[in-house]
Amino acid sequence: MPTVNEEIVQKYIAGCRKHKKESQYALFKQFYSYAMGICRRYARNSDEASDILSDSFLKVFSHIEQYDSSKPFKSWLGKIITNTAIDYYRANLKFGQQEDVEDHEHISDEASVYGKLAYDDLLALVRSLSPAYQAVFNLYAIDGYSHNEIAELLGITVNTSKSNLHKARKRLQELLDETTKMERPTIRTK
Amino acid sequence: MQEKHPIDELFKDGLTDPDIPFNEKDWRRLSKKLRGNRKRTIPLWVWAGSAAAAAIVLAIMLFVTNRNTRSTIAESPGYTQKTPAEAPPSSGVQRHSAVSPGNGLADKPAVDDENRSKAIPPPVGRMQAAATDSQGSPALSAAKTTYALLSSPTATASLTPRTDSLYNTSIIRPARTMIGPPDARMQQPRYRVAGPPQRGWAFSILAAPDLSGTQPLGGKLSGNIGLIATYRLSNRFSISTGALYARKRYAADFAEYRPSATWNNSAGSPTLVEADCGVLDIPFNIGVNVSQSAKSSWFVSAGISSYLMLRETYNYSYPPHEYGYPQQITLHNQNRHMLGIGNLSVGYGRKLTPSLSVTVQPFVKVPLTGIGNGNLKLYSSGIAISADIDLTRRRKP
Repeated sequence: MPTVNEEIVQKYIAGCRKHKKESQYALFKQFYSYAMGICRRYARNSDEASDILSDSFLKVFSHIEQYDSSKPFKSWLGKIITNTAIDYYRANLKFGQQEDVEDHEHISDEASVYGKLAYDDLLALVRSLSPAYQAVFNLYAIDGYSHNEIAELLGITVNTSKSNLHKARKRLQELLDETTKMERPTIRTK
Repeated sequence: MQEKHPIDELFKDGLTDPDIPFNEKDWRRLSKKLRGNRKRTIPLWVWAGSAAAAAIVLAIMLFVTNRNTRSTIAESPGYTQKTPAEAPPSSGVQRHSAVSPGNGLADKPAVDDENRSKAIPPPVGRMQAAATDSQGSPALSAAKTTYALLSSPTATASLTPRTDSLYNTSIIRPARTMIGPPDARMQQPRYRVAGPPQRGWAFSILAAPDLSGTQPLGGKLSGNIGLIATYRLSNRFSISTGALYARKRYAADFAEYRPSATWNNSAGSPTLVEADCGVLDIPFNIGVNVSQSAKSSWFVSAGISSYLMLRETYNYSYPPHEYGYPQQITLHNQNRHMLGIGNLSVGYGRKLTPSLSVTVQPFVKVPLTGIGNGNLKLYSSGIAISADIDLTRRRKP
């Protein structure tokens, strides 16, 4: 991804503060790939990803006054997208997807290296998880949230968050194994 | 420090910062939402400007009313005037007034031409009426006496100047009180010509049961309660504003429910949406008297309201055997519909006393924009019943 020129970004943001359409368009286009990347990970399908994206930018433009210019815009945007995605998750998920901690100490750290797997393949695998697993895995493994933060965000217990992460990993491992059954190179990482 | 699991690493590396080509469709989708959002969001400067403008208008109205009221009370026949003996000896400014004999009103004509000419030049072509009411109670008796005075064919038979020391600083003005049947006024051409329109404030306490729904003249039983301030511009026209707390209960097919944020199809589609909302209704109406007698009046009123949605609760009903979808959402202070409702009403007012009347007012509220989270066309039709207090008449010197 090309390096974001902060100076240009700040110029766009200044225009957005004045509700200039062209600045909004420029900012949207500048961060489209990054933002859509997050949306796709959390969404169940591409249509929902577009909805999350547009709702997120709607919040960005509506609350642009609250953005602290001393901090990277990208981080602020990422946070808004994640929160919007969680709103969608809450709307999607009302029951049945969260599970309590079970015995998972036997899960090995064995993993496969699937470096050649394309972005679309990985995305499809994440989306194949249940919404609860998908949300926790995204938040923890990719976006770097702690279990405490996840528990608060999703309204679940820390143990449930840990359990869902564990099961998400396990499920992904199974799916990876199925996907590359014929030519799976494996390594033991620990 | 989080553990670095290989699965995590694999997906993080593969899914972070992908190179996704820009899609104009997504911008169009956002633009559409931005347009919708712009309609609903009133910039702060509009709020501040509106508040300032309203404050200025109110201040001007109050100022004008205050002056008019003082003049009216001072000049009203029936006002119990102090005798010169009661007045401070130093009072130098005299009030130019006139009374009508022959109607049983106490009349103590007195003239202090010297003082009058020094203090205030008598207005050219203006005649003023004043009289004492032997029953006392100046405020309440003023209107009655005025009515009696104006109804009398001999009311203006004699207009005698007199002095009054109550308003040392008052400016002599023509009488403004014009109460009474039109025929009575017609018999008083000099009054009619000399007197400017009757102006003044009235406050109303209002309760209004109504039916709210997506169709006019139908829906669920709801209600309004609040205060309305009315300013009479003339005998015919008035403007009013106020604040009403309205509870809006209504039901709508989901097809009519168009939330700003796209409904997530994977969340299922309800068949019915039932709403229970708390709304602050700020109306601004213009009233026109179409028929007026001494005791009653008919009027029509039209205007526009702003709805501030204080609380919105929506209950979603799904088809049988569909579970796990959102059942209810509650929003607080999320939506504001500035000038988003049209008001139409007719009314009948009946005077109980000169300063207190009761009004019954069938009304309909017509949506000019989508209301609430679902952007529904929300109609309300009902009957407002109010107790109206005429502050001008109650005002004391």
